[in-house]
Amino acid sequence: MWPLRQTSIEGLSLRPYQEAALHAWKEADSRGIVVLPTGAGKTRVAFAALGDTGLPAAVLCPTRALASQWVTELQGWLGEEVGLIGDGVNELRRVTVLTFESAYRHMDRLGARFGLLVVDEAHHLGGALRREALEACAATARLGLTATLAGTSAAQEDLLGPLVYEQTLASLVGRHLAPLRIVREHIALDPEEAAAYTRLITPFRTAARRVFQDHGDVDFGTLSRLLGSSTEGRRALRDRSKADALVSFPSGKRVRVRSLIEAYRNTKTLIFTAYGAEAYTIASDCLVPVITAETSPRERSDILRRFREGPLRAIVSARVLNEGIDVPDASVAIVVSGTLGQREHVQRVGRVLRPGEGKVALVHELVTRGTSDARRARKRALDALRAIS
Amino acid sequence: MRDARESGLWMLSERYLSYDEATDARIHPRWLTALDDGWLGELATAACAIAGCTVEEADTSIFERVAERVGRRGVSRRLVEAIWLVERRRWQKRVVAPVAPEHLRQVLFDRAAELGPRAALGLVAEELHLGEDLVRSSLFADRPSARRLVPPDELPTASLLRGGFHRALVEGFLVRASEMVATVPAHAYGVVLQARKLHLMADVREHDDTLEIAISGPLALFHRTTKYGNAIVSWLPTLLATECWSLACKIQLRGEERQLVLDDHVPLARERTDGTLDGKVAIERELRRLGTGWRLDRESRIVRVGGHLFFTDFTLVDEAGRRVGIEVEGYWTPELLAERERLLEAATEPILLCADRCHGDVAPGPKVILFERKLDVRALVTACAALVER
Repeated sequence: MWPLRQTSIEGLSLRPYQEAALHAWKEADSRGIVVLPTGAGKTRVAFAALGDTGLPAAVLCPTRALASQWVTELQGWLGEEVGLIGDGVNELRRVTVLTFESAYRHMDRLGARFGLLVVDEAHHLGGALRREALEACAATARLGLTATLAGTSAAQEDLLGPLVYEQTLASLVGRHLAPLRIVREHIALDPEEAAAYTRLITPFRTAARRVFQDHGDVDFGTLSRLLGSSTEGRRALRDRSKADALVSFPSGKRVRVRSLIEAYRNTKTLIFTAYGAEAYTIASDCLVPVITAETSPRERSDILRRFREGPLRAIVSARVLNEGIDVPDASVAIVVSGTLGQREHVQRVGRVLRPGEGKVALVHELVTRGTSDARRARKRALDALRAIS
Repeated sequence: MRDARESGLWMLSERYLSYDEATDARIHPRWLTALDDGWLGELATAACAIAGCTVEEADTSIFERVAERVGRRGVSRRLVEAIWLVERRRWQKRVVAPVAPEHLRQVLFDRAAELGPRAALGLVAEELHLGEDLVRSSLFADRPSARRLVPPDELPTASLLRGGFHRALVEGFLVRASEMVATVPAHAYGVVLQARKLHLMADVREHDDTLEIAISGPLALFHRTTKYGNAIVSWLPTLLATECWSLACKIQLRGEERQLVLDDHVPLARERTDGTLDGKVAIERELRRLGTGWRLDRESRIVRVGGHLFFTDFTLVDEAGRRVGIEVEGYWTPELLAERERLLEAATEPILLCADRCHGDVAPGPKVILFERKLDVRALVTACAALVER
């Protein structure tokens, strides 16, 4: 075990809400989850916890890119070598950063060495962040960090502690984050697309209505299971997926994205799509770089560097840029489509909220009128509004 | 069509496993028969015609190319896709573009940020002496789905497709196993040696005229299941090459435990296998360099302890001729190691177990040493000396 090594947190110049988050965490016996919007400086709260407790610490984060970012920033702040386990590196130090996957693999033999466990993007618990990684760690002090937490689960309470502090986007926008303007633009399907949409969605609607009549108000999972038990139902589900894909990126959106990228040519812009294929289409049309799960880490960091330093002004991405990557500051987000709801939407909005001199963040959302895309956009906006206000 | 790689294993994903369920939790693989050769032949012809297409074009069109024929036979789209997915592994996927796509992207996107897309495309096309359409179509030609398919030397036939699918089907089941018990004739030590070479967690019992090899399946492990699953799949050809074998497996399908029994009647082709063991040269060299007085006897031996068999990988012999059998454990769990150490208490000759620390950490007893990736010959000799002195 390493000795305690406390570090003064004065040099961090914590904002009032970051101080309040640290205080709330300490009051809860140094266990709990802090929810702060993207760009609000969650990392600072973790630095303060590290410095204040002086405990040997393991910092868990979802991706290799984030892990190396944590190492760089921690070394700068602590003035000591910081360990890294993951991405082919295996260096154990008093403060060590691990990816979720490395934590899962190695925490059983390393877990007894740490007194503080910091978990970035803690909402992944149960998904990419497997509970064994947290169970195998002996640290009594635990800090979970996230930008979006849809309620705490028993597992989260058990392994990280209760929700101890939450700050909404609304309370920080315009003060500690850049002021935000959201423009929602409705796009119509062309006649051919409209006919195809009706043809594809009608069997699903008919079948769903039948299920609701027979089984009452069932959730979507149950509805899918019931429909999936018949050939006709399976075909209806398959056609519904095609309909969703159609309205997610119809020709009208394709044309409009092109003109928006041209309009914002001199502004750093992030373009978000629901599917990889849409991102590649936009990249080919507008000749802007694309980052998807297929992009190699080398090319990805090269694109991000050229976006940060110039000459690039725009990046298009499906889901990869939602979270887990240190995306350089941008002022405009064009949300072409999204299927993952409020959490995804808040993360995307957060990507342009980092404050800057005279900066006003703009989110330009494209919605296909009168279709499932519009319903989805309305729902995520309402949920996000609840989350941010 | 989902690629099997997405499931984390280079294996058929669960949705492509084709089987019938019996009432007693047993499953029976749905083998293809000679009756299927008609539509399989048509599929093989369609596959040959796909050469030069992109992976995406091939995947989306393969079923339509044979839909009429397979429709008459009541063959599902999923089965056709699965067979194609297996066959596609044999094909090369080549990036076809006049310029390296990644380099092209870098140049073109930088220019487009500066000049706008239209001007940039014109300029880059001119610099490269290529048409604008070709530049644009080359931009993402390195995407996995955009690569062009090149057929293998041995073109697909009905029997090749059938054999490949059967093999993939069995492999798909085995990587989902938690326990397996193979029964082979008593003389078939090669099956055991190959299991040891591949570091499978195996316990071997000898009966009158058979060997019973109990192997922990990939799902019995806490992690590293992909590698372990691949090791089990690599062991399969040795089993197939044996006469009169059977393999009883407990497997997990759709979250439930199922029983699968395979034997030498399964329609899988036998392959020639290489059962040689080596990797001892470095140890011999190190023994000589250290001048310990110990030498390495390369012969693998079988040591009976109670009803269990230990397969030593090699033996260390000191100057007085005292011998210590060395059994290197590849994959292991603390429970398995403790059990084998307990069994060794009844052994009449000294055996040392060597366990790779990358699979776990335990406080080793006198008959166990831990190593990291490579055996530490000095530690090995020290432990052997302590054992022969006991």
